[in-house]
Amino acid sequence: MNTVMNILPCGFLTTSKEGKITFINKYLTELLALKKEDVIGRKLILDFFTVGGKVYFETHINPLLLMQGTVAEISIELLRSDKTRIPVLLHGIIKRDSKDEPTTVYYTIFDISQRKKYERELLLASEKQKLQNDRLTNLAYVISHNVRSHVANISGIISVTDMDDRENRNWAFDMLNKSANALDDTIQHLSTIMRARDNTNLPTETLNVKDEINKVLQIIQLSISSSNASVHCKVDAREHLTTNPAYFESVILNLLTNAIKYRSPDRDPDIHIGIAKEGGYIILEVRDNGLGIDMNKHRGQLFGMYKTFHGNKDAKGLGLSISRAQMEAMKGKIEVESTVDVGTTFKVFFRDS
Amino acid sequence: MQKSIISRNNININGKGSKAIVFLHGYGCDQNMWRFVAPAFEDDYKVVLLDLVGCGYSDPGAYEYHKYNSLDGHVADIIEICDVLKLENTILVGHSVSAIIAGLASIRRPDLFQKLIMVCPSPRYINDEVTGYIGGFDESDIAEMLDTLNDNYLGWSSAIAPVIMGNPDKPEFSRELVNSFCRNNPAIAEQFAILTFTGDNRDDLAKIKLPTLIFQSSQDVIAPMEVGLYVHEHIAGSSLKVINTSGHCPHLTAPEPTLSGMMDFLST
Repeated sequence: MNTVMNILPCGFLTTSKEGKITFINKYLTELLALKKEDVIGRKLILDFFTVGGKVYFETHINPLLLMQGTVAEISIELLRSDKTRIPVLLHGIIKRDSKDEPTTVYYTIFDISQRKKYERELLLASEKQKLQNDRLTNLAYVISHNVRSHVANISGIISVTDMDDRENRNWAFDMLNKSANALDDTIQHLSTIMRARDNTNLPTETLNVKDEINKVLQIIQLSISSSNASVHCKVDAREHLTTNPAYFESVILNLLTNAIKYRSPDRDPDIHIGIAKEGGYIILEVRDNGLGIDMNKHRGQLFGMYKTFHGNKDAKGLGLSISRAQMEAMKGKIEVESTVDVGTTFKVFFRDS
Repeated sequence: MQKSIISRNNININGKGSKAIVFLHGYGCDQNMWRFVAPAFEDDYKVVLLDLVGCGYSDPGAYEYHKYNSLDGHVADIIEICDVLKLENTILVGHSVSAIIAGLASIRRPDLFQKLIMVCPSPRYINDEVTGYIGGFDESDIAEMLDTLNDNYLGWSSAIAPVIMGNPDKPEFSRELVNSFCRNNPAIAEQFAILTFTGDNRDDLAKIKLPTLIFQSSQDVIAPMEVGLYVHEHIAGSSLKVINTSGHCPHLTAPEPTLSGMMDFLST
């Protein structure tokens, strides 16, 4: 019997019901770089586990053995005598005597080092894929949202222009010229992202914060004036920020359009934009006096895909989830505070480089 | 209401008695943990077994990360169950983290419960250098532990295998059930592990006023002897029973002495 166990191409171990090792085969002593005589009768199976492994053994493996008699396909790490770790797959079966008392536990142990390496590669590959996928979603959103806002602005300008009024015509031409340049900028930023080979880091530029905000305000100038909104931008003209311009524009545009879209019917929108530095971040704050969101009800889902909160027909529930994804892609974050019928404050955190 | 709570916590009630005994499983597995001790109470008690929300066959849709981000979520469930099922003078038995959940429930609603049985309780797993408290783990151990737990899904996948309980016609299906008693959604299991192993309820112990029995395993890496003694010292009038066994689950490894300890305590 011992001879057979010792030529087995896998680890084999028996313990008493208390976990004391009563037999260990050659394969396993070699795998763990141990001497048989140091183990048998001296060590517990627990001694082969890391702290996490011990907890896992006590909360999962041993209860399962006692409840159902066997365990299978348990992935766990064993400690070798030099304290390095080796990933193994563990199977166990418990033997009971005629009085149904557990007597011996038999374990087989398979070295899965190569398989674990492959598993890690697969996980990394799927992680990479996810990043690529997120980037495509973000790009699609920027195209459908930002570019569309520019176009809406252009057609808006055209529709309010009186061609017979020379002064008005000049104003419109000037506006259209600015819009065309802004649209060109947005498209440039998009193609920079698309050309970027590096999937983990977005291309960045140093931006003048006030100028960029003004560009966005220009895109939505018509909805600002038609909703009678007042926008107060308290950002110093010297403030700069190194980040991705397309995403930056997309996030700010989204927050400002939301502030107007979800205005209160009882008052004109009053929107405040501020800037602060804190804990390694440059924080932009967009505060409105709109409908507000019931935070007790919606806190967990505010940035979720396809979640809407105001019963607004046009809301698709994409904006905030994309804004969060874009902030995360820029290694920043987004936070919100809101009170129903008082207003909402969004804070976007950019890494201060 | 009653129906939804029963399915939420997968409540199973057996036994002929009028007085209830409620068993709460700890981190890792589900109500099956009590299979060697609970049936012995069926002659004299109404035996209530349940799965904490997020574990076993509790309703997966009932899990809210916000609610169960502290033990209070589970405490509220236990109290709600006792109220809805109109359980009075209840004996509450909790293992491991659920010993603490049981203690907290007794503090909040002392009127509902008569006696408390804590199996391998620990009010804090991490050592506290400031006070010299020994919990058995260092801060760094907990991080390593969460990694290990994270790495092992026990065959859990998003398409949970169909539940086929002991179908004798199709023995090939019985393999589906392997590990199912301790198989939980990994994200939920992680939250529960963090909750369990990073908590500190030392200050709550003194507020427990019920007659309390504490079981301590003679060798337990999760809740070592020092911890059992600490709990015993801090719950006034509690009794401590050391079970000569190794491991964190005396109700599985040594069901007979555990059971007789419970019976003795309940008969006094």
